[in-house]
Amino acid sequence: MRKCFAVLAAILVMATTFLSACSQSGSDTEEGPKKIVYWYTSTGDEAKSQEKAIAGFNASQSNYKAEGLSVPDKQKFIVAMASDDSPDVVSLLDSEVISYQAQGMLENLNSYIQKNSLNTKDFSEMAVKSNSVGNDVYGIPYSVNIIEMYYNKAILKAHGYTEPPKTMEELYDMAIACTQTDGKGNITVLGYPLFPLAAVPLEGVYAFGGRWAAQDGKTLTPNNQGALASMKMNLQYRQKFGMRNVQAFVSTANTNRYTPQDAFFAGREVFRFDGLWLTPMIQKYKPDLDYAITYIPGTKANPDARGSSRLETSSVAMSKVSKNKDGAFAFMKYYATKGVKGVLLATGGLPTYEALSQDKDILAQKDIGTFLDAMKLNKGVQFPPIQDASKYKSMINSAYDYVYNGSKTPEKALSDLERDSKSLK
Amino acid sequence: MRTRLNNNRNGFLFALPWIIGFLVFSAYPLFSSLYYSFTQFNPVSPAKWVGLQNYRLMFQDPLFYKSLQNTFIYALVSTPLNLGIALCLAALINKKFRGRGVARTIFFLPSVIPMVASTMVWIWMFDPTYGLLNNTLSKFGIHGPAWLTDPHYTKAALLIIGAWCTGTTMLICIAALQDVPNSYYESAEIDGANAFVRFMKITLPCVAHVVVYQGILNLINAFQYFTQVNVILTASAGGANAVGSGGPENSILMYPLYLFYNAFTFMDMGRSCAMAWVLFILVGLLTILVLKINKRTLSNGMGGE
Repeated sequence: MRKCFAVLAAILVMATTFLSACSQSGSDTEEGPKKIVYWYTSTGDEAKSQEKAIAGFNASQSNYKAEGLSVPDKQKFIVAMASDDSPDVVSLLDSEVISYQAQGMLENLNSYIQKNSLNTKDFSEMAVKSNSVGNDVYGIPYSVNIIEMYYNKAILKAHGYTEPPKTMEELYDMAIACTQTDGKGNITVLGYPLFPLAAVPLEGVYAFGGRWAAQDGKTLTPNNQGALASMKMNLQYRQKFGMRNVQAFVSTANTNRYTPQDAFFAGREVFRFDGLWLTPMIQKYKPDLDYAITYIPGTKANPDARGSSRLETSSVAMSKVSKNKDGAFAFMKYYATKGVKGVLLATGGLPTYEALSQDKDILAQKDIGTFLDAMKLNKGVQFPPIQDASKYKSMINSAYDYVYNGSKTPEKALSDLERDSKSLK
Repeated sequence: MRTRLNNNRNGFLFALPWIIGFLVFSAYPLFSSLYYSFTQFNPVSPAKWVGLQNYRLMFQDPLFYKSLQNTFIYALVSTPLNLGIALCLAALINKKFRGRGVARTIFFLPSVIPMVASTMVWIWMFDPTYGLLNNTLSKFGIHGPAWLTDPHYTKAALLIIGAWCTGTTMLICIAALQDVPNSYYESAEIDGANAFVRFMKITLPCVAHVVVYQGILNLINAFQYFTQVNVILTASAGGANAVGSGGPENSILMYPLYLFYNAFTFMDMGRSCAMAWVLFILVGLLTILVLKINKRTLSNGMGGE
């Protein structure tokens, strides 16, 4: 009997210890500022700018204490939501805001916007719209990203070109002339803009007037003439210099992207479709690089496509399961209006808050003038804001893969993409 | 009788903490996932019963079959390959020679290096232009492929990574080899058997039960292959471009990775639960098949008469 009692007592103690260890910690019943957790995707020096913004918020008031965490992997946010341990505020792209809100993961900000007297008209209208579903706002945009064409002036000059191309046909001719290979056929200087990989199905298609969705943003148009023409020109270049050789170069370039060995910094890439964030990296890794920036070309048939680019915003959004929504919005308001200046200067982002668009420090950034001029063209293209945007992007990339490896013709790849995309929401 | 009852009760009570842990952390999630496989849900929305819809859509999804095909190919090639390498290494290391301990350590080291870090290094090694592998091949006049971007070679790259870390299996084979009585080898030598014959007729049958067991474990692990492909696709496919990516022509879209994408990228958790149960059934059937085929070697661990 005593032995049994002792065993039962031991089990009870173990169970109590076990259950108390599993219980949630850190409730908000403690006194002092309430904790707000903010997850951002920046790393390295950019992360430091995020922490400065967070410190600024904490210094500006005493009700809340924000803590930041660098979480580049967005999937962690979903896992965190599933485990009821999500951050209060998270940095997302506008396409992610739309996708996550469709899953019920983000808070509708309308009531907080009213309560805190945040005027959305002080932000770029297009940026706010891309974070909204109808009249419901789900993200506050703090930075807008567009893409321009960086080009190596020295390489073009060496081949007799004094002006950058205005059409993709001109670009193709220059790319052929400027591509260099070694004695074994390995590419040493890449002429055609095949890298970064993300630009190929976006700017690479928009330049030809192609779109992945109709004007309504919901009707998907994967099998469009612009995408077909873009794929064909891409394939033509690869076949000229050898599919294997081009793929090898792109693979190596991709591994070295945004490092000191980046192909563009090293003078091994003639044309590069990229964002303003490239400029501070050039200044850091290769300040003497002879380069310039111009609009993404159009085509002879469609010269108005010149200047087209993806339009993405980086935004702050509130988790649906945030434990401190008032504090979360207070942080979001501060961040998007005041705190973000340092982040924009560190990351080379374009402001969405109109007051910051006139800020002298922002305007003093190298190359920002070209990007601001491009914004004024109003040719930004938003990727279809559908729930299955990630799946659609993945399918598009797969279609390109099949073409690059010679497994499908561009026509077949796009036709299969059209068939497969019918199931997307 | 009363003493036996008391002993049974006390034994059960002592085992109770483990039983509770098993029920809470294994059985409950297992059967919850079965329930959720018949629902549509995500982290914040309540589960909505949809019956067999997840299974139906899954069986209509071409990527489901592609990921299954990739995983089967990898599992069926890597398992015997890794076992063979581990057994050969174990047979070599089992001999007495100077520096045997150092050699054993060197071969075991890859198993203790964190998988993410080693995969990052392998990405560099597989670089088609500057990688160590292609540079070495070029010295023999061989133009190495683009290992991670050519769909014909991506699985080969994964097999190379897998073959590199067979240290744990090697150690288990060494332990099994040391169990083989020396008298068998002595008798065989007297009868004139050479090293190869001794290996095939004595060593292999005597360690067969361990090899089969390791084979089953390796097969199960191969069907859970995730970390290396996830790191490769995230690091080498282009950052944001890697979202939902399965590599060139989806050639390294492994089943667990596709399951993960469905859950945490496409947020279709009901579908991923359905995929998990299909994987469980498939691996279970495969294990039973392997056990049945090797029933003879399992029943007689000393190699049979």
